Amino acid sequence: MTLLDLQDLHVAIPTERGLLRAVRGVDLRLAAGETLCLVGESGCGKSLTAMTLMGLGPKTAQTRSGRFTLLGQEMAGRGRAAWKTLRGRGLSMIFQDPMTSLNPTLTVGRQLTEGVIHTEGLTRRAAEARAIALLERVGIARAGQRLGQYPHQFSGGQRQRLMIAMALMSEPKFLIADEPTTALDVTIQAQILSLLAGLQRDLGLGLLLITHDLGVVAAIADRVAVMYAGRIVEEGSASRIFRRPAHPYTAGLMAAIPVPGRTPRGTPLPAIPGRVPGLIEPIAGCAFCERCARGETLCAARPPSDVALPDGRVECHFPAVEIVQ
Amino acid sequence: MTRANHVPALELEHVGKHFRVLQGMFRRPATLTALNDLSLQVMPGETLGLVGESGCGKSTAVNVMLGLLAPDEGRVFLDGREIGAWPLAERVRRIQPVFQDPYSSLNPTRRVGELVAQPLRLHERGTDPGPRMREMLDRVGFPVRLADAYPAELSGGQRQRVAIARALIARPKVLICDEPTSALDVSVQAQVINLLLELRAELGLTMVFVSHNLAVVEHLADRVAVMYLGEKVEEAPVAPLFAAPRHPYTRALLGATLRPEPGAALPESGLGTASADPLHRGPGCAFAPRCPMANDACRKAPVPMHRHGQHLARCLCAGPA
Ligand SMILES: Nc1ncnc2c1ncn2[C@@H]1O[C@H](COP(=O)(O)OP(=O)(O)OP(=O)(O)O)[C@@H](O)[C@H]1O
Ligand SMILES: Nc1ncnc2c1ncn2[C@@H]1O[C@H](COP(=O)(O)OP(=O)(O)OP(=O)(O)O)[C@@H](O)[C@H]1O
Ligand SMILES: [Mg+2]
Ligand SMILES: [Mg+2]
Repeated sequence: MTLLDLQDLHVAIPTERGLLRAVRGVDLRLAAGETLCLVGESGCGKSLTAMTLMGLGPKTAQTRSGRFTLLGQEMAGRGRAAWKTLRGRGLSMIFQDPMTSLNPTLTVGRQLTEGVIHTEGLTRRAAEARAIALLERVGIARAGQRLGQYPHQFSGGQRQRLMIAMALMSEPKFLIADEPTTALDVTIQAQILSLLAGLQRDLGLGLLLITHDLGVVAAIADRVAVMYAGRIVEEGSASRIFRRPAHPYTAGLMAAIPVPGRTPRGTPLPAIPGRVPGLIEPIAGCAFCERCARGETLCAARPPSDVALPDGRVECHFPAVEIVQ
Repeated sequence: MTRANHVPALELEHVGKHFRVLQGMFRRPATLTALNDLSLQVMPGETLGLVGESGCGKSTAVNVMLGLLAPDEGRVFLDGREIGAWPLAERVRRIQPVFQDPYSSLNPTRRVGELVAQPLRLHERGTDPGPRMREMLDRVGFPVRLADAYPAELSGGQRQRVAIARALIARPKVLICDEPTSALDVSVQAQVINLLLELRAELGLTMVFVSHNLAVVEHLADRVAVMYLGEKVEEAPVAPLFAAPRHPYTRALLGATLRPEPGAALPESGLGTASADPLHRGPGCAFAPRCPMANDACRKAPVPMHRHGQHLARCLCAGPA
């Protein structure tokens, strides 16, 4: 079953400096049981895309798209109310910003159980039992005793795990996870990733995972989408993208991963030079062109066209691939 | 070397911190031990990496180092002087934080430029902070054209760069970074690490670097302390710590690191499904309930730190690597 089929999403936000074209034509597709990882430059529009999928984009945002089906329902052009019936009923998200989902003035027990008591009509006890079981699976000891505590009494990583548990309370079919493990140490991270992998295996959970951690991507992604300046510039299988990145931005990302032994300790790491372009002025050519070693005059003048790859696509005038005819 | 060079830039001496937590309406409050007998020394110009399980007390230790949280036991020294004895303005000039959460650590009603220039206003009233503010933003890879933006208009990574620029603008001697790059993509992370390396060389910056990213810690730190349930369980110079960890928790941690190579299975930590429990500590080693090597002696009495070559390890079974 296709959980998500999104074509040509544009999100623009009015700012004091002008209209910010933050998402500029994004296509995403996800099937049940599949893991798609979305990676890319900080500020390139990943969270904005995810929030739009949840019907929670900024109120002032101007959003348009081509086809947009979510859990089988057509969403293009529909208002915020249309999402109410999907959230908590199949569609769920772990937010990058803990404050989006955690209320500092309510106990965590209350926050975890409120949703399912409302949508599924569970008793408080049954809801609490589910919450405790989930908290234990995300590695919070004596969960029963900690339900009466407030978010500030938890560490950064514990709060992140509260949000993970909260997103899983409604037993979603489609989970959007925006940087879900940034505050976790690697042993707990592995525990969370196995929990998600188990849900995929057993319940066919579809996972859209946004992350900067390419170790996590390598461990769990089926497919990877690489975003830059509001567009998906490359998409393909995880195994190919790591071994033979086609887009120069993807290659730059892979090279910047600190790998012990590759760059001598204490010496500069290879970073992509330069800065992302502002997205208020329209971009004539390729958005990466100024930072690109392969850049030619053509790149600044004309937007790159889509190049099909056996496992996906890349948009670049000079991709590092043999072009399939 | 002058005498001053032997005084740690920052020192924690047998620090303990406990929180009282309510456990529901009808039960007595319990005590949660966030830090237990934690001693750390950071010499001038040195970078100490601080790693450990989520919830083990790293951020609590950071708040104690910054003088934001008073320890219940033990003492904290900045440049040889107790942290509470420094006048506030002096203290914030010497030691600056970059916090874990780029969402709540920036005042949402202030523009980026004001946020970054704020520490300068405290010290250097009168001069226009604009040029230095813009230079600093540029150095951390933040688009200067967004200096008028509010935090809510920024992505997670952009906010973290603002936090770093603000911490560095007054050129502090000690920088305490709590997960400073976890919100950044690897290329921006590389830029920020390169910036920290440059500033460390240029200003002789002393750093405490808390991170879950072990590859980053290995790249940046001179020495690493590993914590578990509020205690330091191992400490060693960076090379031996990563090459031959002595404590079983350190080994589990290093073993669970994900490498950016597709096709590898998720690592098994070997720690079982039990979780670290800060509310109920046994009399013995805090790690014993999850330790694959634990025996009766480990559970009976507290385990002291032992020296093994270049390592300090709190383990009865930490024999030769
Ligand atoms: N409410 C808003 N008002 C104005 N601009 C915004 C708003 N939300 C996001 N932006 C801008 O839109 C762009 C995309 O932001 P988004 O949060 O989607 O980035 P991201 O890819 O998730 O980055 P990160 O990896 O750092 O979290 C950024 O340039 C950001 O400054
Ligand atoms: N104000 C508080 N009240 C009660 N308990 C607290 C409070 N602050 C922290 N704790 C508890 O103290 C312990 C240590 O928390 P701390 O934030 O120092 O952990 P950490 O090592 O920084 O974890 P992380 O890697 O997840 O950020 C945790 O068990 C946490 O729940
Ligand atoms: Mg984001
Ligand atoms: Mg912390």
